[in-house]
Amino acid sequence: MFSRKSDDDQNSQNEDFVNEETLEIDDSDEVEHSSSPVRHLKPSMISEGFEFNGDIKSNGSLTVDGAIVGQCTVDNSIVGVTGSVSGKITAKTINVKGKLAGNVNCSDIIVGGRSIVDGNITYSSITIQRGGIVKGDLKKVN
Amino acid sequence: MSDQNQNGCLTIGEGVTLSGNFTVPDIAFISGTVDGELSAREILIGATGVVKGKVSADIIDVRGEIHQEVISKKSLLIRSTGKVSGNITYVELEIEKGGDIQGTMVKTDAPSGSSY
Repeated sequence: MFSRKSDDDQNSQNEDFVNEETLEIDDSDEVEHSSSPVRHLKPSMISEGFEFNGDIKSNGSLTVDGAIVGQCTVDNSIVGVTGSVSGKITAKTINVKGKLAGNVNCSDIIVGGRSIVDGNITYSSITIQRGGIVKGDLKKVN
Repeated sequence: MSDQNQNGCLTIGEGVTLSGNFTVPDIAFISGTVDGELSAREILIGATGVVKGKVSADIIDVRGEIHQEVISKKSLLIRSTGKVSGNITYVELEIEKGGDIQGTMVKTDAPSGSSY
């Protein structure tokens, strides 16, 4: 193994790179708890107390514990207990534990037991945990 | 469910089709098809049950389908096979993954003096 490495340096470097990448993907998957295909982006985070005005676009995961006012287009979004998003949200999967206000467009949404979603939701799969509040129109698409 | 005491209960078996307005003092268990207005204390709609019309109850548990209007004064539970469309008024709501819900959602506060 070692001798092969020294023999073919470039090849081993390639191998190392691949290994590193796989590790990273495993890591981010653990954090996200998502079944979506692996992404190379690390999750982004809006922390508690952080207020953001503007549009967000990402192919990765976004965790919101602070406040966002504006349009969000992400792959996977988690709105924490203290988090709030006001504006249009487009995502593959959304997990709401806090507040959402505005139109939501997603394929998979989970509305937690203490969360409030105020706006129209277009979804293909929805879960609302007991006590979750949804106001507005719901529309299912396949 | 309503096996022990059937006083005030309505059971509609699979394959049965009814139309009209129904007021049920206790539990309505629907596995057939109902066309019309249905009000009860508790409504359980089985996987084969379909209600087309206005449905109002304290507790509603849906494994089948409701079309048109749903008013729940306590809790509304839509199971994974459940399908609800139309205007939905609720106090407490739960939808299992796979449940299909379409229409306008209105959340109300629990009435202070529930009639049942």
